[in-house]
Amino acid sequence: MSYQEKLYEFLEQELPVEQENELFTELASNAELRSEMKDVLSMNRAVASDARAFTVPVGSVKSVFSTLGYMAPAAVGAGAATGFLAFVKSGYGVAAASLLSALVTTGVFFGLGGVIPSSDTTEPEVAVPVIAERFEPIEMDMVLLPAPEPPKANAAVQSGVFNQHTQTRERVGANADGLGLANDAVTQDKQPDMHQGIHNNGVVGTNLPPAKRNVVESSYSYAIEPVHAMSVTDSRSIDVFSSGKARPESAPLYSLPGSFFPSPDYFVVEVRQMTTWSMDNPDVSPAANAGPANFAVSLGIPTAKESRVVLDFGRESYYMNFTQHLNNGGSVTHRKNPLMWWGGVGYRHIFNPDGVVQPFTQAVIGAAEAGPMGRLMAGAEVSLSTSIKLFGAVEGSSMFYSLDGTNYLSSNLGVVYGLSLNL
Amino acid sequence: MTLRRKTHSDLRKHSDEHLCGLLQTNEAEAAFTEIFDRYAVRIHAYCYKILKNEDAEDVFQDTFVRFHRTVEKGTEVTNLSGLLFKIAKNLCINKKQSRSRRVMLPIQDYDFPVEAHSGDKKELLGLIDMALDMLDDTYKEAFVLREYDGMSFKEIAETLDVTVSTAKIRVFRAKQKIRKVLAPYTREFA
Repeated sequence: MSYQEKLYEFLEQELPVEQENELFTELASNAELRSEMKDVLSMNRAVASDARAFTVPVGSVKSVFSTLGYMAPAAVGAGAATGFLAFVKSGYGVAAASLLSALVTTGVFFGLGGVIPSSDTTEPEVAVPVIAERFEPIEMDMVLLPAPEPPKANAAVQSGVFNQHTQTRERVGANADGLGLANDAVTQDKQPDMHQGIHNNGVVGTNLPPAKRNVVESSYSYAIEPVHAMSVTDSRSIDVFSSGKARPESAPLYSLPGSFFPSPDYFVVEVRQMTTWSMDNPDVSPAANAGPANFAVSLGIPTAKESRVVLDFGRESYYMNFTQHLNNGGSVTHRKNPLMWWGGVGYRHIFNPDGVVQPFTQAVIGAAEAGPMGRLMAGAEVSLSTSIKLFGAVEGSSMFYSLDGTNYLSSNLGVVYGLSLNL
Repeated sequence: MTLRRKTHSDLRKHSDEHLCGLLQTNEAEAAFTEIFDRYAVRIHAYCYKILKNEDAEDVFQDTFVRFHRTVEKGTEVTNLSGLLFKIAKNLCINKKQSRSRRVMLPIQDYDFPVEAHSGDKKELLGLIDMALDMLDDTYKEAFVLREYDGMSFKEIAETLDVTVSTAKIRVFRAKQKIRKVLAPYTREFA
C-alpha cells in the first residue's frame, strides 16, 4: 500500500494504528504528501458542510405522500427538522417567551378591564350582554318604575334565556318590589320551575328607547328563590337577564369589586381550520399549509355586546428563510416551512351583534415558537342558534424572528373557517 | 390498550425491519412517515448529486413510491437503507439513459436545497461538483454514498454489490481524482 493510500485510509479512520507512525514519519519528510493531506481535509470540510445543508423540498414531500394517499408530515427529515427547531428554540427560549408573553398580555388585558370603564357607561343600550336582544324587538307591555332601590330578600328575578311556553297572562307585581323592574312587563308563567337556578347579571327591557330603559345588574351571585317566571307577549324566544340588584345606567357592565377577573355570562369557544399562503414563498403554499395540522382554538370572553377578549392558540406553518453562520466561517441558508405552535391574546369587535350575520375584526398579539407574532382577522359570524355560530374570515399574520443578529419576518395570508359555541 | 392511532414519532425507536413489516398493516402511514423521516434527506442528497437537475426530484419521489409498493406486496426487507439506495441508483441509471436519448433542456433552478456559503467555500463546492461530474459513475456514487450519505464502507459495498475493499478503493480514487481537479484552486483557498 502506498503512502497516499495510507493517507486516505488514515483520513477515513480506516488505517490500523500500528501503521500510523509510519505514515506520520513519512508526512514529516514528504511535503507533497502533506499538501495532499491539506487538500483532502479542505475538501472533506467543504463536502461535510455541503451535505449538512441538504433539505428535501416541501413540494417533493407532498408529492410522495399524496401519491401514496398519505398525509404529508409537517417537517421533513427527523434529524434536519428536529435539529432546526432545537436550533431556533435554544437560541431564544421561545417556549418560555411565548408563555410569558401570553401571560403578561393576558394580565394586561384583564387588568385594564378592571380599570377602564366599559363603553356602555354613557350609552346604556350598549350595555346589553351579547346574548340578550338577539332577535327582533318584541313589543312588551312594560311599566317603568322610578329610581332603583336595594332589593328585598325575595325580590330576585330570574335571568337567562327562556322560551315562552304559555300565553296565559296573569299580572304579577309583588315579585319585583324594589327592583325597579318592569313588573307589568311580565306575565306569570305556569311553569315557574324552568327558571330556577339561572343566575344574574343582565338587563331587561332593552328593546325600549334608552330613556325608558331600566337596566339592572349584579356583580355577585346569590341564592335565588323560586319565583314566577316571565313570559312576554310575543311567542318568540328572548334573552332576559335580571338580578336582584339595581344598577345605575352609567355603571359599567363589568364592575369588579374585589375581583380581578370579570365574570361574564358565558364564554365563546371557537375551533377553526386555517389554509394559509406564505407571503414569502408561494412555492410552499397553500398546499403545504392546508390540512388539519393548521388549526386554532380560541376562548372568547365577552366584555360587552359587541366586543370580546380572545385567548388564541394554534399551529401554523411559517416559511422561514435565514442564514446560519458556521464556526468555520461558512454559512448555510435554511429554507423551511415548519409547523409551529403559537399563542396570543387579542380583541374582537363585532359590528352587528344583533344580526344573524355578524361581521367582525380581530387583532391578536402573541408569540410563535420562533418569535413574536401578530395576527389580524376580518370576517363574519353566522348564528345558527343562540349558542352555535359558523364563521369564516380572512386572516393575515406575521412572525418576527432573529438569528445571528439578523431580523427576519415571515407572513402568511389565509382563510379561516370554523365553528363557535357559547358555553 | 391505546385508542389513538400511532404516529410516526411513536415509532422512532423501532428498527428499519420492523417498520417495513408495519407497512403491510393499518399502521402503514405512520411507519412510512418514520422511514421517510430517516432516509429522505440522504436519498435526496444522493439523487441530487448524481443527477444534478430536475430529474433528481422525480427520481427521489419515485424511489419512495416504488419502495412502498415493493414492500406493500410483501417483499421481506433485511436492509432498508440498501434497498432504498438500490432503487434510487437504478432509477438514476434509467434516468441518465433516457436523458441521453432526448434533447437536454436548460437546467431548472431549484429553490431547494439551498447551499449558501461564504464566497470561497461556495466556489470550492462548485468546483467539487464540477469535479464530481467528471468522474465515472462508479467512483461518483461511491463518493456520494460515503460523503453525502454517511455510509460505512460495508454499507457502500452492500449497496453497490461489491467487496468492502473495492468500495474503499472507489472512494479513495474518487477523492484522488477530485483532488487533482481541484489542486490548482485549493492552493489558492489555502
